[in-house]
Parts: sequence; structure tokens; C-alpha cells
Amino acid sequence: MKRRESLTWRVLIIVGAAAVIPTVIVGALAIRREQGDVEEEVVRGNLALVRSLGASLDATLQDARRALAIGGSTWADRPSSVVRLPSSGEDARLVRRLRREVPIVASLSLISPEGAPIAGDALPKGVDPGFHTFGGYVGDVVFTGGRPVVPMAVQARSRTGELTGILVAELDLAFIGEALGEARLGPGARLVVVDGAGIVVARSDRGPVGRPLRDPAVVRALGSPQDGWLSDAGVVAVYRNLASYQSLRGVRWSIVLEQPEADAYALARRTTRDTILFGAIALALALVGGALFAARLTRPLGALTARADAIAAGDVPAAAPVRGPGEIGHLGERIEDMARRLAERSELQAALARGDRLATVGTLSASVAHEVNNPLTTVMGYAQLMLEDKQDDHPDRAGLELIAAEAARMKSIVAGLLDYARTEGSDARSSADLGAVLRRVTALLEPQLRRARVAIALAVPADLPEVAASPHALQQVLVNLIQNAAQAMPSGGTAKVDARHDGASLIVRVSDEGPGVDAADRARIFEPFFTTKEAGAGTGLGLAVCKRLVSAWHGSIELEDSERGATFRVVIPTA
Amino acid sequence: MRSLALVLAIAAIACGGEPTASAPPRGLRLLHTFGAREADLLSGALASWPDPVSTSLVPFARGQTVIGALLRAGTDCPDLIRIDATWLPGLARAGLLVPAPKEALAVDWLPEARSLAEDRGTTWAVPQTVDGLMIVLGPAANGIDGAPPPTIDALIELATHTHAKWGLGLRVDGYWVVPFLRAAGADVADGSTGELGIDRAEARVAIARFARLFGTIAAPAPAPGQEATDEARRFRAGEIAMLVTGPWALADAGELDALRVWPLPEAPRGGHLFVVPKCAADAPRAWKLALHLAEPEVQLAWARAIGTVPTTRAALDEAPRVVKEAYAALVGARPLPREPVTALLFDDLTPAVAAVVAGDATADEALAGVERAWRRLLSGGGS
Repeated sequence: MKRRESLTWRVLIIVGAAAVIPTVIVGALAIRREQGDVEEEVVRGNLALVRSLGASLDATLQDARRALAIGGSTWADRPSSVVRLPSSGEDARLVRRLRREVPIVASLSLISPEGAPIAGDALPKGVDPGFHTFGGYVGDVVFTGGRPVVPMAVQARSRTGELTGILVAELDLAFIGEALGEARLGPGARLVVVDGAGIVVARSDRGPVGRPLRDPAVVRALGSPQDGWLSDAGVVAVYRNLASYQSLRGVRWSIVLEQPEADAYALARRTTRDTILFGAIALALALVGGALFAARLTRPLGALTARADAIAAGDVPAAAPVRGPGEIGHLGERIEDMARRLAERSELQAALARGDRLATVGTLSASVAHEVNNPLTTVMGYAQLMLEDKQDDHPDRAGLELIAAEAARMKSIVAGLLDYARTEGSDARSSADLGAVLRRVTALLEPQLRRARVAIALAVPADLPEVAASPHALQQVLVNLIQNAAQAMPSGGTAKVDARHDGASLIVRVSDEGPGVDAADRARIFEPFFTTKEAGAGTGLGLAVCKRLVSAWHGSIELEDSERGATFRVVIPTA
Repeated sequence: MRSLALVLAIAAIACGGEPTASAPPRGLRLLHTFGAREADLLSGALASWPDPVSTSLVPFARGQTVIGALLRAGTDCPDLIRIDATWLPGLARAGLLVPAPKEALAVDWLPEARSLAEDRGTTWAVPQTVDGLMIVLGPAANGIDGAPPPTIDALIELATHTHAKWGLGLRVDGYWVVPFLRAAGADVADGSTGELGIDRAEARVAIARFARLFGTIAAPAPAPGQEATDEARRFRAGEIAMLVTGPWALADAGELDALRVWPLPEAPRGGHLFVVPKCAADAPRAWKLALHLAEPEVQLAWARAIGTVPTTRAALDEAPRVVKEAYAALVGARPLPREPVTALLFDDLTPAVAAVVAGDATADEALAGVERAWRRLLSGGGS
């Protein structure tokens, strides 16, 4: 049992390891890869959103600048510009038209290259026409009335490239906040546009603008020439420096998208959790399946082990082979073959031993019988002679009769012994007619049977072949069996004798209606001197003699199982 | 009640009114004009600096404007700025910079680099790189041997006979016109003397000649803003035999080992510098960072990676061949006038050249406008 358990556990461990190790390794790799892919996808998606917003912002500002540049160029190419004629109202019309065409213009000034106002609004505060060259944005974002605006200067150059004026516009950047607010963001995410000083220009949430925001992502964004991402303090951020856009050159703006990692990677974490959960379930199922498989695999092995133990202990009764798949089933069959052969060998050895013993007994009996027979004859003869001389009332008569009777009984025993011994040399080559022998036996026993109120019923076909046995020995066997049947029925009954031809043998069955033979006695019933009769009623040699005689014919005799009485079955080869 | 509201407001901010906001990182603040590749190298160089440095990008196109405005305002002031050398006179003479310390003067700078860092006898900067225009020869120049062309005429003659689709790669930019002006006997305006340089007939001839090259000997002008990518693509594809550009374009032009560099006749020379503004919070530390970024090891790494020309002899000695060739080419180049107005000249010259190249104006018409603009500049009026 211990070995079986050990084997079961080993199989279970192997199956478990075969399931656990690949599952854990493949699962871990899959989780890691999946997590990396999802995180990469989150960053890529957020970067795409930031780029898209940046491009949209760029396009809006580009449109504004292009409109101002075209208007400025057209204005610069007017004849009065080149020859410096006094304004004929074209300047004011230019400013009005550009205000209409560029909706994000909050204020617009047209100044000369020297910085003198020509038309439109006053120059925005902080714009210094004396230092820079009016080539683009002229300052960072400022907040006017809470609205972010950026001053932008567009050169009005003539077709020859000559600078004839500058359009200085304040662009209302509130549209950026509106664009950010309309962006479809992931959970917890926010978009922020900061200027070069880290001042929040616009944001997607309701947080304040116009205040500095110098978290790591903003710092990184302001120092980066293009875009990138970072993960810091539980926040994943992507950014793009808007200076990389064509229309935004000169402006140190950055757009930053920040999202808590818990939200950004929620899908990855949920996928990881589900993968682990389903992996664990699959693993548990695999282990349960493995346990069942191990038990199923080792159960027949356990039965085989128990069977082998039993065989080793000498308990080899026939049993159905242990069933099992493949080699296990084959092993079970082979073990039963071995057990059967061991049983046969054991039986053969026992039979040989018994045969030796019986042979010894036979030899000894023959010797003793030969030596005892003559004195017995003498004793019995003198006892008879002395009885003849004694009257019936003679006081010695009873004793003499007892001597004679016992001597006769002893002579009968000796005769039995001599019969037993003689079977060694029984001639198997002779033949006998069973029907004739039976008729002779019934005639011989008829008086005895009648006294015992035992009828004999014969069922013997007439056309039976002869058997390979001596008629005398066959008669002896049948007499013994019929006498035993009669003795088994002290109150009378019917002794049945039937015979039939079965292949190369005749089968003769002799049965009675007596109490039958106890199970404990069945194995010894053919042993010499074994008898179930009362003391003095039998010698215990009758069935032993029968056995030896039949065996000498290469036949068999056995006691059949029957519900009532005893039935002896004798198989005799045909001649 | 107002006090209570103020306290509550402060508490709200302190408790996360700005969820991801954190205190500004300590350390120096560096304002730079680097592109993507240079920014990566800068990050590498800063990694060996013991303190955190927050960097902020200033687009080169408007760097002078933005930096000038920042330093004048004095708020949000950086500790260290990387500038174009032409911006130095304007910033220094406006009193916005701190002179370089003795440690900076003691470094074995290359002569061309040392002169870049000076204005009117004072050293204001740590030189980061030397640049200027030169001729870069690539795979399509395989039949071009011998000595570099000594003159612009010789260059055009050589370009005319190359087997490449285009003999030259030029940009429609006032800076690229300078060699042609000089070759013709003209020049850009000199703020120190008041000479316009462009008001001569030779300048008109030079501009017209320059404009005629596009689409004939030089590759056609691409759309504005696409100049760098277009010329790099054409050069790598072998369409352009000789690319007139600066060291900043070497990495985009191809593998450094596969390139050769010749001096460009009459080329302008310039460079880039690290300067410390007066409003810097920690000027001494900023100078140390500048010197760290100009150490030979750092410069050598940049030279090997993208062909940046070093400013120290030690770095140059170990630099790749093409970088040494670039330096040799730039030694013969002439700096632009070291005047505040110099950087502003090109804002007017470039549109004028573009108008001529595009055929919108004659050279006479275009330069007349430039002349008027430059007179205004030199007189200190307007732009």
C-alpha cells in the first residue's frame, strides 16, 4: 500500500510538474508580454492623441499665420507701400478684413518696420519691436482677462522680399482649451498645454490655467526637441514639444498627457489578473485531472502488487486477471498465467508427493500383506476347525467366532492392500466391455443390495465402445463405487449408474442419495486409509484403489459437486 | 474670513490641488537649441554630471528673440544657455551675460573657438563647437579628386562637370549667399563700420548668379522648412555631388567614414557657445557645467557620433577623419562681423534671395529692399 501511495504521489508530482512548470513559465511570459504590449499600446495611443492634438493646434495657428501673411504680402505689394504714399484707407481695411478672416485674432496691429503704428489696435504689452525681427511669435503666452493669448508677428514682405510692415496679432488660445476638453481621454487622464516657462496655457480638466506646472513630465517636455514619454510617481505621461511643428517654431510650448498608471494600465492589469485566475483554475483542473489519472494509472498497479504479494505468500487461487490499459493489462494476464502455472506446479508437486507416499504405502502394504496373509490364513483355518468341534453353547465358541471374524476382516484388509499394490502393474493395454462388466457387477452385488434395500438403476447405452482397462480391474472399481453408494444409504435408496461416450473416453457416473461428502473431506477422500465410515465399517482403501486403477488407465476419477448425495465421475479412455 | 479662505486655499494646493505637480527640481536650468540627436547626446553628457539639470529647448529659428526676451525679463531665468555665436555680441553688449571665469580662460581652446567666445576683448562664453559652411563630398563625388576648388568660380566649374544629377547642394538662405557675395567683392553689412557691403553692383551680380544655380547646377529649392531633409535625402541618394553645408548636417548626410570635407571658398565661420546670464541663480555652478559639457571626452563623443567639431585640441586630435577635415576647412573660413546686428541681417537677406530664386524679383529689386532694411538696422531703427 505504501509503495502504491508512493507511486501515486510520484505520478501525481510528475503530472503536476508537467502541468505547473509549463503553465507558470508560459503564463509568466504571456503575462509579461501582454503587459508590455498593453503598456506600449497605451503610450502609443496617448502619443498619437498628443500628436493629433498638436497637429490640430499647429493647423489652426498655421492657418492664422498664413492668412495674415497673405494679407500682409498683398498689402505690402500695393504701389503706395513701395513709394511710401500716405494711407488711402487700405491699411484699416486690411486690419478689418484679417480680423474677420482669422477668428482667433484677439487684437491686430499694423506697424511699420520702424515700429510706428499704421493701423489697428495698439501694440500688445510686452512686445518690443526694437529687439526682435518680427519673424513669428514674439513672446510666451500671457493671460488677458483670464484668457490665454500669444502675440504673433507676421512680416508683411513685398514680392521682392522687402519688409514693408508688420502685423502684430494677439491670438486667443482659448480654442486650445476647448480642443483639449473635447478630446476623448482615457479614465483619469488629463491634457495640459504649457508654455516655455511651464505656465499652464490650457488643460482638459477644470484645473487652473496661468499657473506654473513643473512636474517631471512638463520639465522633460520643455527640454525635449520632440516627443517622448515617462513614468514617474505612479503617473504615465506622454509629451510633445510643439516647437517641432512648422507653425509653432519660436514658441516653447509643450503638450502633455498625464494619466495615473492605475487607469492607464487598467486593461493590462485586468488582463493579468484574469490570466492568473484562469491559469490557476486551469492548473487546478490539471492537477485534479492528474490526480485522477494517477489514481487510475496506479490502481491496477496496486491490484497487481497485492496479487503478486499473495502469490509470493503462496496464495495462488485462480482469479480474474487485473484489468488495465495497455501494458498493465498485459502484465495482469501474465501474472495470472504465472499464478496458474505455479498452482499447477504446486499441485503437480503435491500429487507427486502423494503418489510417492501412496507408492510407498502400496509397496509396504504388499510386503506386509504378503507376510501377514499366510499367518492369518492359518489363524482363520484353525479358528474354523476349532469352531467345528465346539457346540453352540460351548463357552469358547464366542471367542473363537470373534477370532475367526476378526481374522476374516484382517484378511479382507490384507486383500485390499494386495489389490492396491497390484494396481502398480495393472495392464493398461487390455480392454473391457463396460456393459458386460456392469451386468456382472450388478449380478454379483444383487443379494447384498437387496439386503440393504438399495435398488440399482443402470443407464448404459448398448453401443458403447470398449475401454482400455482390464475387465477385472474395471469390475473392482465399479464394485467399490456401487458398494460405497449403497453404504451411503443405510435406509435404502437407489444407486444410479450411467455411462456415455465422450470423444476418446467413456464417462461413467455412480451416484447415491446419501448425505454426500463434507467439503472438508473431499480433498482427502482418495487417500489410502481415509474413510468417513464408522470404525470397522471400512478399510479406507476402496477409493484409493479405484484412484490408482483408473490413473493406471490414464483416466480420472473425481467427486462431482451435486446438490444431493455423492456422484463419482470416472473417465476411462476408450480402447 | 479672508485669512481663513487663504489658509484653505493654501491647504488645498498643498494637499494636491494640482495632483501631479511637484516642487521644481533642484539643480541648474539649461536652455538649449539642440536638435533631436544633439539632445540625446546632451542627456548622455548630463548623466555624468552629479546634480540634476533641467533642460529646456529653445527653437533655433527664434532663439535670439526668445532668449533676449527671457533675459531682459529676468523671470524664469536659466543658469546656462547654449547660443549661436552670432548672438553673443548682442547679449553681451546688452549687459545680459556674465564674463567667463578664469577656469574657462585656462582651457586649451582651439584659436577659432576662443575667438568665438570673445567680444571686445572679453571672454563671455565656453565654446561648444565651431561651425560654418564647407563642402561635403559623398558617394556621388567619387570622380572628384585633386585639390579643393580655390574659388567660387572653380567650385561652379567643378560642379558643372560632375556626373551626379546636381553638382551642388545649396540652400535658399542668406547665410549661403555670403561666399558668393564675398567672391564677387561684396559682403554682408558690418555693424562696426556701418558699411552695407551689399550696396555694390557686385552684390547684385552675386545674388543673380546664386539664384541661377538652382535647377541648373544646384538642386532645386525645396518647400520652405524642408531644406534640411530634402538636401540630406538627395545627397544620400547620390543626386548631389557636393553639398554646401555645415558640420551640423554631417550625421544626416551619411556615414561619417564615407564622407569627405573640403573648404568652401569665402565661407563664413561661426559656432555655438555656452553662456551664463546675469540673472542666473548659480553662475559659478553653471560655468562648471559648461566646462563639463566642453570637456574633451564629451566633445569627442559628439564628434564621433554626429561629427560635431570640437573646440579643444585634445578632442580634435582624437576626432574622426571627417571631423578633422571639417575643422581644417573651417580654419580658412572667415567669421561674420562680430556685431549685434549681424544675426538680424539674414532676416531680410534670406527673403530677398528667395524672391530672386523664385523669380518674383530681380536681384536689383530684391537687394534694393535689403539695402533699405539694413540701413534701418544699422541706424538702430525698427527691426
